Amino acid sequence: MVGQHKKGNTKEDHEERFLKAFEEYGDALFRHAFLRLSDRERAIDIVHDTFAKVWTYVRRGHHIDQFRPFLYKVLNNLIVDEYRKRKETSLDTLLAVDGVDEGSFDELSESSVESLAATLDGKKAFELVQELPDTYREVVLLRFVDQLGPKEIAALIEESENVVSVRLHRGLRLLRQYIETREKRAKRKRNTKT
Amino acid sequence: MKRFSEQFKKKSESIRLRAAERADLRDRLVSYMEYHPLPSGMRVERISGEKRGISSEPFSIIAFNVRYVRNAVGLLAALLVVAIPVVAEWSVPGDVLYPIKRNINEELRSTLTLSPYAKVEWETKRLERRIAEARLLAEKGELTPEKEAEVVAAVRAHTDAAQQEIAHLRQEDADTAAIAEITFASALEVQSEVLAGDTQPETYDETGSSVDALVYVVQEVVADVKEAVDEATPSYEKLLGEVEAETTTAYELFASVQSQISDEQRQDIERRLADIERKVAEAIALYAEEGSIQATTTDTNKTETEMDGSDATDVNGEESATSSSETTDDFEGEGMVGATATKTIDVSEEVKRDSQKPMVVNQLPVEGDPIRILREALQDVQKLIRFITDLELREAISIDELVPVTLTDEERLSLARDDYTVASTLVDEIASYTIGEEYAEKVTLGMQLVQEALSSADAAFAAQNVSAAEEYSAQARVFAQDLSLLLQNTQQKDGVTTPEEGMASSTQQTTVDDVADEIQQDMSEETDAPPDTSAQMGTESASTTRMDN
Repeated sequence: MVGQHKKGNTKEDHEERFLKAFEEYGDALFRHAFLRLSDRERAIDIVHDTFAKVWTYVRRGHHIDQFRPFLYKVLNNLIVDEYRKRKETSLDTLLAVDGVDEGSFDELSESSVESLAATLDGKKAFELVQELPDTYREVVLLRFVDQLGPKEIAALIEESENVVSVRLHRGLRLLRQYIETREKRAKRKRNTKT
Repeated sequence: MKRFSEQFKKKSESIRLRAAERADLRDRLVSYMEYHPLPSGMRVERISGEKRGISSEPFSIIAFNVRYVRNAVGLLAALLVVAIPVVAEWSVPGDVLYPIKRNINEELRSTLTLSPYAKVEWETKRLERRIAEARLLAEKGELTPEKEAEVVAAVRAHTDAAQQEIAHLRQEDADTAAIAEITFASALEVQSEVLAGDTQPETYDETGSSVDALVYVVQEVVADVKEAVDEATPSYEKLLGEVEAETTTAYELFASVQSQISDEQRQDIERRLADIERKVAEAIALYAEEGSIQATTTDTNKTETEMDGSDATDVNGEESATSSSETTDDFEGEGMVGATATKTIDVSEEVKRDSQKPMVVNQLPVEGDPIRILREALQDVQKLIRFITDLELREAISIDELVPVTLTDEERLSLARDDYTVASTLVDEIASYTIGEEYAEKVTLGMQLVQEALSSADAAFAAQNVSAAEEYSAQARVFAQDLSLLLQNTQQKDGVTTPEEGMASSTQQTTVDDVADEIQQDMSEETDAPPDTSAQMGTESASTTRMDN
């Protein structure tokens, strides 16, 4: 696809390209990891592991045209591994909840996600994104923080585009519910005070 | 949508790596890259668009890679930790791995050895290893002076270390320290004998390398250690226990090598084992005796009695050998038991005499000291064990050099009887000579001495007192031979030949005056010198005479 312009075949080229990828995506990967894991130290470690694995892949003689999706893929796998290790929330049960569900018609269209998003306050939604189950958080973050297209996300998490859309839709709906309940609670608090 | 997306992103951008975290992470990554560099002849395989970044292949590759690296590192570590030290064990000075053997393998074992006694044993072992290495090199003709100097330094270092450990041990447990000292001395003596065997000129003449300096150093060390051993007095029980343990080991080892040794060697070893058992039995009997005497002595401090007891017995023995004082009569009449008893009565007198000649007493074998006998037995059995176990040692030296035969009482008596017979034959011969005026006085005096010694020997034979019989017979023989020599020379001067003249004058170019002087000397010592000294000189001259004849 893109990135054909650089044909790094010498060792120096490989190293240079790899380090450039770190400068370029290091922060974004960290941000994603941090928002998924809520643990700064662990997030840094996972970013390191991600680059280490990618470097090993390069050493094996593979050429990587585009670092970004590849890095995200590795990072995502590591995060999933991390979740399995923690076992705080069982990924399987979460997947079972919506994995089978094909979703309703409006959930399936990209435009419906956009219209739903338009009704939300970005700042408030961000504050509550940590509350989302990881299945939804994953796609929401990839879409709105990392600015990946639905196709890219689908490739990354190895699901169909439809599933991605459904999760995005439900994730945003959940966020709206959270915002509403928080506002209600705040209002009630204010009422009881006065 | 745009608003939400922008707000959301903007908000999230507040989350980023801090400068320090970023720099740190980059450093980690760069060092990871340096540690896992790209292979030099790397061939790049462009991944296709479909596969791009999404397969889970990296994981399997990584797993293989890590295992590969781990294996390589593991192999290298195994080589360093196991293979090299094992190979190093066979190295000799000058080899590449020799420093590893000495500085790593052996030092490690030293560190792992905790008890001081085991440490002494280990230092002894190391010393033996150094000497064995030197001998191996000398055999190959590769022992350069530099290497020999290295070995000499190592021998000294190990000796010092062993002695330090012994000193350290002495503070905690004097008995064990004394045993350790004896063991160390035995090992050194064996090595010294082995080296002495190597220096025989015909062995190494053609190669040009020798172990001369080493022999000298080891002999020096042996002398030092022997002195220390003389002072080492472990308790009787401990020593007896050790001797018994070692003897058992020796029997076991002997049984296990039965098939590998010649009949002659088997007989030799059996004889030595019997000797050792006899020594132990003797020591036990003496100890029991000493104990009963001590029980009756009330006015002397226990340890003093013990010490004086051994020395005084010795003094009595020697004294009676050369003079015809009252003590001698007592001694002859009552035998060893009588001598020991006599001593306890006149302890003060003996102490006075001891203080005048403390050196002489130590040099002679003390008959009545169970500790000393046991010590000898222990050293003998330790040397014997080394002889049995070490094949190289068996080839290098004969058992006679290592553990000389200890004669039984019967054997000693029969040897003494031989001396006695020689002396009395000579007396008869002398009596048949016509003696010139000038020598008459000397001869008469000499004959008197011979007769005295003979009669003392008679008494000793009658009392079955082995050591006394040996000494008197030997003395009688020495005096008689001196006299006979003197007379032969006189006769020769006068032109009369005697049957033995030819042999005597051909082997020994002694003038009449020399012999006369010798007798004079013998007689003056008889009267002036302390009894021990003269007895010792008497035995010495006896041995020289035997050799000459």
